[in-house]
Amino acid sequence: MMKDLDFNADRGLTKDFLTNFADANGEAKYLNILQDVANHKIRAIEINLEDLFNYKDMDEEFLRRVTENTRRYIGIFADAIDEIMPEPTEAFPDDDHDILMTQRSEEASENTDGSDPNQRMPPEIKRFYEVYIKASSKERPFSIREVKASDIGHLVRISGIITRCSDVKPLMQVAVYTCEECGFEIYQEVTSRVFMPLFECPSSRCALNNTKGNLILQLRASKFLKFQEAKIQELAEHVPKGHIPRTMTVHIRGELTRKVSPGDVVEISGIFLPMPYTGFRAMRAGLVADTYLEAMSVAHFKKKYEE
Amino acid sequence: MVGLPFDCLSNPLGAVRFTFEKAISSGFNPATSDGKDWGAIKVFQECLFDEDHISQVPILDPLNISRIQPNSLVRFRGMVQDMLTNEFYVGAFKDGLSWRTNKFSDVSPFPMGSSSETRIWERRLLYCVPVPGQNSWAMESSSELVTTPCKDLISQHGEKRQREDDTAATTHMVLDSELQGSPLGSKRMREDGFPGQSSSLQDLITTDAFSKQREVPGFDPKSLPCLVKVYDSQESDLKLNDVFEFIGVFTYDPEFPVPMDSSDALDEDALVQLPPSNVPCLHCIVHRKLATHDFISKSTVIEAMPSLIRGIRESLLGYLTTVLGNDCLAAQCILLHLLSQVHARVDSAALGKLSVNLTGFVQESLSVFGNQLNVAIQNLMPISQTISLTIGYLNTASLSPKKDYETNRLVTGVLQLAEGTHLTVDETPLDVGTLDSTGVKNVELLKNLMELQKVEYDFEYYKIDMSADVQMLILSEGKSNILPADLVLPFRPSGIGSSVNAETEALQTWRWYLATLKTLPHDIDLDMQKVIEDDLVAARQEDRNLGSQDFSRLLTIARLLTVSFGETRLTLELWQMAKELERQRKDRLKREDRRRRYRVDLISVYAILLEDPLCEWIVEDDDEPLLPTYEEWPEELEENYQLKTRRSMSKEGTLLLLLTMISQKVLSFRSTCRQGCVPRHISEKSCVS
Repeated sequence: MMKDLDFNADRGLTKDFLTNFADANGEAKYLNILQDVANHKIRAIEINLEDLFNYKDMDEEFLRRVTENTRRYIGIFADAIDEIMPEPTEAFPDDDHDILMTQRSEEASENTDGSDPNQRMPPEIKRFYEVYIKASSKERPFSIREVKASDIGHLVRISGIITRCSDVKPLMQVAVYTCEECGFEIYQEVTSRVFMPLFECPSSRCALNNTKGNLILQLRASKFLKFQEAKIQELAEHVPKGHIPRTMTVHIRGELTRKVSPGDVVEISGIFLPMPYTGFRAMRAGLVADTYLEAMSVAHFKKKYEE
Repeated sequence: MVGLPFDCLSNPLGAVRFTFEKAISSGFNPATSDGKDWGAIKVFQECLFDEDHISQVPILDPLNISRIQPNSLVRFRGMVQDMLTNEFYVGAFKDGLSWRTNKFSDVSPFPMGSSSETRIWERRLLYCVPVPGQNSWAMESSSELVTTPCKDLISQHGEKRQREDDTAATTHMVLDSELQGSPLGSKRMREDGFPGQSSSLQDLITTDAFSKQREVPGFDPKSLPCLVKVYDSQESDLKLNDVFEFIGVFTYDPEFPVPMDSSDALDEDALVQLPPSNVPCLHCIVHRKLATHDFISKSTVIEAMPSLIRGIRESLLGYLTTVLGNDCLAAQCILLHLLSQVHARVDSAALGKLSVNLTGFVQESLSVFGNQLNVAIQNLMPISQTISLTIGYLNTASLSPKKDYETNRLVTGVLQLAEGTHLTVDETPLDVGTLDSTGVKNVELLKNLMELQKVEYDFEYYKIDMSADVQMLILSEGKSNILPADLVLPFRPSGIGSSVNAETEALQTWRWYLATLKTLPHDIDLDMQKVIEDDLVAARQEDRNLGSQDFSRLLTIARLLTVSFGETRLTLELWQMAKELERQRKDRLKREDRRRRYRVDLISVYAILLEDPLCEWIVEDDDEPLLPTYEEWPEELEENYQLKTRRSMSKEGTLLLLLTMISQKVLSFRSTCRQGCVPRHISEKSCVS
């Protein structure tokens, strides 16, 4: 059933919301957050759906769209934030990423043929923050067995106990290559766990000269994100009689990593997504998709001692 | 059904597609159905149950597996051992203009374009194993079945299969003698030219993928587990440890090689460990729960007339008496025990169970009567297991199932048993030793199984209690310290029965008797309730020590007695019988208690109870002749004792009384005692405490 999806209009709505939202104290909550982000004090922007619900101008449809298609709306919120990001008001030391970015922006301004699609920087690479959409805490959280096939793509909240945690590893978001021939930086956005690296330079200059420029992957220039995988199991009270507890995989990114360890009783809100099999499993599996929960916020039930 | 354009048995997927299309044309919308059934199940139910074609459906077992066509209908009987994560699959997709379904299959029969509209549905994955402890006579033999000749030989990977001579495989897999039909079957198979899956099957049997399952005692390494994918059932229908018969579409693809990915990523979950080449897969269309009486062969259905039932009961009692060396009381108790099952649970107590502890087994009697009893039970009960308890066993066995988070599977334990299993625990090999923490835990598990009929499954962060319904029989030397049984009975064989073997026909009648009468309802009407109440109150007044456990035991005995006669109401006569049985048992216990071994020291009059757990005396072999055994128990003591026990006495009081009696009488026949023998350790407290 195709609904009327107008992402541009939605982008406008999100911009509106972020600039105009006032919380219970009358403060412009999100503008403050954005200011902090601009000052490099925090790196995560958590948008609470509860706020969206309470927003005076909000319409129900938009809320429903955000809940049901959350992954897409993260991108939309991020775009909106890019547009309204204020200037930094405090000085902060440059880190590698900032230096690279200033270089790139200088290059981009010199470069007249900025219309080369293969050289245009994906917006991901300019961002130094993460956007998280947190579900409203009004209803009680689901147990793992209550999450059904119809919830795929939706924002859900589950509670459970963490059973295993992997190490924190870097996850590539944008792969940056340099061409040996023309010397340009080529960007490749990576959206899944595996990606096919580029080998030949697609830039217009190389195409013009018909030289098959060799691309070298620059790890220092590529954008990485912290990534951790965990398995969460149902709590004892949610398991019906005669059944065994179910588990679900959770993918944790960025600032949420290192917040959980095995044995913690947590409440995670996130997007329930399918993870298509890749490689040999794709040939075999055909119909089946593995699922996981992309964590947006993690809350512990019991407070740990402050470290 | 006449005139169907498909055949449910040989082309079930075709049947499914046909019903799907029919449903769509009458308004069914796959887009909103969320995987629910559209009438396909009803068709199969009609074909299988109403028209009784179910016996034509082949059974999935290691012998049959090479003969069964992929994507045909099979059935599988097994116990749900583990539940894996639900699978999300593309249930329906739009191929151009028409909807197609992938329900009940692993791969899509039609090519799925990537842009077609899809609907994702869910299916449950259950890992099922053949029932642990199932005796060979209770297994449905595949020779009784007619193998439907496979007309439709279109298999999806047909070209890749090699045609092989599968005699080698069948000789490897011959398990029982009940398979006269199988060589015929395989010959017919080779005529059809059905490509053999034998080479991969041998790999299946020797593969190490399920080595953990094989380490459990009682697990038959040649038995075949099966991954069952269930589509349309309620979650509450299929519980862990339930025994089901699943009928559905069989898929098994042994061709697919599995490259082992050695990454340490967490997403290597269960499915990587059991790719289809190791375990056959059954897409379940219809399923039904099996109870004990489903394991009895259908050919002995007898009408339950009371006189007939009595006759059967008498003959069974006779057989049990012979097996148990002419000990009638023991035979009666065992009969009631074999009829027991948990029928209600109230406040964590399991009502209806009657576990029995036969004491007095020594080495010789164990080897004779213990074995006879085991054989008899194996012949009478469809599912039975035995455990021999030694210190080593208790310290090392994994009795309770535990979840392994590496492979994300529930590793089975000895106590993961189906309902209606009979468990014999042999305690006689248990001797002196120390139990470590595993041992203590295992003892606790056995005790909980005995008293509460619950087994604790370990999920690392918490433990879950699963209820069980296992009949437990303990064979021990003295009263079991570890396992508190409902009925403790000293075993007094008075001779070895001459012929213990029973003919098959009688056995079959008895099996039917035990399996069917178990399920009879039981009722006590109001007058009887009054009588029982009065009796219990009177008994309590006589003996203050009687508690609710004793009364509950009495009621259970009465219930089982009623059921053993094929009746449903408790009558006065039966109640009297129950009370009589209990009285006889208690009498025997009392005599047994008294007939213990005492050692009297010459120097000072301390009588030390050898079985007193506080006493640290260790009897050496050369002390043997000094001890009066129960055959030599002086009868005068017996008389005196009986006179004195009008009032109930504490153990210490009894001891002191005996001390005085013994010191007078026993010294006289201690002529062969050794001089100067001193007890190793005497704790004075143990005598007089």
